[in-house]
Amino acid sequence: MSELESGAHWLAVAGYAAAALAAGGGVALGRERVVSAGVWLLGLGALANLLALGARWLAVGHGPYLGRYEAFSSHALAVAALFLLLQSRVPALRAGTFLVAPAAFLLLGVAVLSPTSPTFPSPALRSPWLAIHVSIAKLALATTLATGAVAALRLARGRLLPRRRPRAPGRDEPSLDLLAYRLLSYTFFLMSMVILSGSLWASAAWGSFWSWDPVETWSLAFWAACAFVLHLRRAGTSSGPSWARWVAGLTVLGIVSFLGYGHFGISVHAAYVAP
Amino acid sequence: MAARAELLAARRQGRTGWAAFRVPEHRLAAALLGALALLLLLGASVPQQATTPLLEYARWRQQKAPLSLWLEAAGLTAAGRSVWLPLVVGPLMVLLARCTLRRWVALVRAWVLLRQRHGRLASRGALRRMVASLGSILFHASLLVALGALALSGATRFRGYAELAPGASMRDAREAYASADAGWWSPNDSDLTIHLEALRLEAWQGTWLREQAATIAVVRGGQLLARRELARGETLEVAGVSILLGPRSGPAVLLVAEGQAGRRAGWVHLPAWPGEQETATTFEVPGSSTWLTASLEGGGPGQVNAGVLVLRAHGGGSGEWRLRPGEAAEVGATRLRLAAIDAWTTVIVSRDPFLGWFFGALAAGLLGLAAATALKVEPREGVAGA
Repeated sequence: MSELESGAHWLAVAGYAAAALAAGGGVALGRERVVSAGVWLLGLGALANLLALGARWLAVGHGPYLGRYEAFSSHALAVAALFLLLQSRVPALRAGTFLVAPAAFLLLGVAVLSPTSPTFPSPALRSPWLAIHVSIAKLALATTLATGAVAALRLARGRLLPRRRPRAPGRDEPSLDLLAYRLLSYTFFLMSMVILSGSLWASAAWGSFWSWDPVETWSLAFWAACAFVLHLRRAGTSSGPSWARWVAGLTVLGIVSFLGYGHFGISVHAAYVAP
Repeated sequence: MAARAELLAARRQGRTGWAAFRVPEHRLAAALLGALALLLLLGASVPQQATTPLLEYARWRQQKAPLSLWLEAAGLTAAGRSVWLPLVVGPLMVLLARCTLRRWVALVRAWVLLRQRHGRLASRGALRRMVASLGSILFHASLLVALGALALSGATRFRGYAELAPGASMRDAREAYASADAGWWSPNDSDLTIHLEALRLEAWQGTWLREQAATIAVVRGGQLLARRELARGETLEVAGVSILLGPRSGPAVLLVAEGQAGRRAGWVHLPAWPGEQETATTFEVPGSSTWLTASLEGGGPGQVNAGVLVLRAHGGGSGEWRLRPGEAAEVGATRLRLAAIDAWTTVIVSRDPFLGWFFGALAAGLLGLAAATALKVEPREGVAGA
């Protein structure tokens, strides 16, 4: 590991930690400016993370998705980058930094504490499907966490958010309920793509599109759970805070699905991502 | 409440036969999807027979008894073959068919109304809702087609594999099919012989397998049907059968045994290259009842012949032999010679006529879902209503 890569990674860890502290403090004290400082620090951390991953890519000659070190570092970047993009479009989301920054910090923490020796891709991994499947999965993880952050904000409305009323939302700015619904729709769409791209890849590599591997089963369970929560909303049986609670539960399931078995269990997917 | 009132009204009017069809479709869908998610979560949380190594599964089964036995009896350790899966997916398919049909009719009616009211000029918002509804209908209909294709595929496909070293062949493709899954109505028509004529490996730093290609010949009744060098991931289609070079490979050692039973030669396949994982395997010496454990030291996919074969008496017996290619050892009354070290690879043979339908339907469904998602229609705003 080069000094640039190592230094940039630790700078990113510090950036995410500072962002978590600032956003958490800002939300607790009701200071909008401190929350905004947290957003800037999150952006700084994401930039350092990007630099570290770029250096890694140049050093090992493949994208940052092999081994726990690369996988978790790119997870952290995807989560932070998507949230930064979303909050720039929907300012009401800024307070969600107090949840997203710790998540990025923890993800990057796991990465920097993992073995950093490069992993060589096996023949099955030397496929364009790898980049497609893994990139979409990272985006799906990021939207899952963003959905969870919006649901948490919806649940915490009036309790944890800044005491001073933030500036009035713009005409086109969606409510937190609607935003959570849309983000969950995107997550569902991305999960469908993850499953389809994985199936196509498995079919080409192993001659079988589905093998009930634990990671596959977890992802299908998460996909079905997303569909379940979306239908709850469409059926009108759950709305407002009660629906937000379902979404929060779904986020926990998503985190387990994305980060559990594939990284720490016995699975063909684990062979791809474990060092 | 509204649903119950509707149900009671239907019963009063003597339309109870239709009452079952009046259960709100989204609620029923939510209930079935919730059940499916729960079932899959249970399946994902316990070891699956199909994917867990045999020894590890047996250990779990013994350690967690009687819970493991209950889970097994409930079919949760084989989620893909569980009776619960069709019990949930079957009603979901009925619901999907009903939902697709109802929404399609509503969409067509809405379109006709729109044309009647506004002529050719419909508002952008109305058109957007229509396209989103159409996308959602396409997604649901595609899921139905994909599930149907999956059911037909499960009943008619066969898929198997064999590990072959260069020069070896599957006498009959059925030999490979017997190693894996086959549906109830799988045609047992394959009389193909598949030869692995040559295998070419590339390695990272001589140690880690990077790429592989194999020359494969397919013969039927003594007549050559196809011969081609197949790179990994490429498929050779012959007589309706797909032949695919699998991603795995490992060292194979050719041993020649000479003893009282005569002279016999055979390949012993070691599970993985040195440095990857456990490379040892156990085999019976040809023509004797002696069992040996074989492992390889050194070498790798980039330098196949550089390894040293280590043979140990299996089960704690005395004796250890280290052989390089061309060397021999006396194992009991048998002379064992290491003729060559080469590599094996996996050749996958499959036939699945409905696979194209399955993937085609899923791709179409994704397009529909993309339209429905990107157009940002609110939860209860669709043309067909909620």
